[in-house]
Amino acid sequence: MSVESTIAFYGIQFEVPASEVEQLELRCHPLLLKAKTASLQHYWANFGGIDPKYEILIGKKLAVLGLENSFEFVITCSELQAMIEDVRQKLLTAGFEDEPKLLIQYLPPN
Amino acid sequence: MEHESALEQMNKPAMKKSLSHGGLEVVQILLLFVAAFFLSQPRVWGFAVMPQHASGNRILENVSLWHDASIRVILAYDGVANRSLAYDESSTLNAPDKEKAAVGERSHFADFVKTVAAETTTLETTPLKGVQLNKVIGDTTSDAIASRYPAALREVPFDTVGGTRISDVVPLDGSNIAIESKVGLTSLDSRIRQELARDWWLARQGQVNTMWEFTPSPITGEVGPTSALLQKLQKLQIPYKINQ
Repeated sequence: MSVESTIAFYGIQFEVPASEVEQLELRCHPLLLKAKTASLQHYWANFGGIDPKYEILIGKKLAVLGLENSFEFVITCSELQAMIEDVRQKLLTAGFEDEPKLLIQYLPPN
Repeated sequence: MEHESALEQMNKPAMKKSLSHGGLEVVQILLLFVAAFFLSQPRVWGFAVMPQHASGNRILENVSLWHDASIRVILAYDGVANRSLAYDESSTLNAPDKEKAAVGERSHFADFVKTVAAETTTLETTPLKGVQLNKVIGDTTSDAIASRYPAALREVPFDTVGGTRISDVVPLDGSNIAIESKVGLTSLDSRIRQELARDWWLARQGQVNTMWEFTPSPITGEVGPTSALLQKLQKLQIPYKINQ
C-alpha cells in the first residue's frame, strides 16, 4: 500500500478519464506533451483511492509531503512571486489558458 | 483499614512474585508456546465459528459489510461479490439475497475478508467511506499478508538514495524479502514510479528484495498491474504475484 502524502503544486489541474490513463502511463498524453514543450512539471495519480479519480497537475511541483517524502516545505515570498510569474508565462506559452492556482492535494494511501 | 491492609499484605508478595525473574521466564515460555502452536495456523481474528444471525452496515452507497458473529464476513457489492466469493449454502445470514454471499474456503480473498472483520466494531458505530475505507481495506490486506508468516513486521522504513521507502510487510524469516501490497487495479503513476525506483535501488544494494502482491478490490473487483506497470516490473526484475 502506498503511503499517504500531500502534493503542493502551483499550476492547473485536470481530471483524466480512466480510458486515458494508459496515455499518462506511457507519457504520451496530450496534456503531458503540451506541458513538456514549455518545461512545465507534472504530477498525476489516482487521488480517489478505491473510488478512482485520476487527476493531473501541471505547473511547478512545490513539495510532496509525507513519510516517504518531505516533512516540510519553505519558500520565501520573493521566490514564490518569481515562481508564480514563471509558471504563468510557461502555461501561456504551452497554450493553457486556465488560471493557475496554488493546489494542495491529499493523496490517500493506496 | 484493617481490611485494606490485609489486602495489601496479600497482594505484595503476589506482585513481587509476578515480577521476579522466574516468573518472567514462565511468561516467556508460555508466549513461545502460543507462538509455536497458534501463530502458524490461519488466524480467524477472534470470531467464533458458531454461526449466528447477521448484522450489517452500509459502508458505501453500493457496498454493505455483513457479519454473523462468526468468521463469515460478507462484503456485498452489486454485481461483484459472486465473482470472487463462493456461495455458502450453510450460511444463516439474514442479509437480503443479493447481499448474501459467503466467504469461500481458504481463498485469499476470504482471508482478506476475514481481516476486515477485525474492523467491524468500528464499522458498527462509524460507517467508513472514501479515503477512510480505502485505508482500512489497504491495511487489512497487508495484515492478511503478514498473517501468513509466523512473524512479520508491518510498515518498515528503509533508507534509499532517493528518500525513505516504507515496506508494507517484512517477514522475519531470514528471506530478505519485503512485500508491497496493492489492492485493485494499479497504474504506473507518479507515486508508483517513485516506489519502483526505490525498490529497485534497495534490491541493487542488496538490502531487501521487494515483491509486489496484487489483491482484488472488494469495490471494483479489479486486480493487478496495468500493462505499463507490468512491463516496468518485469524490466526492473521486481517479482510480483497477482491474487485472483
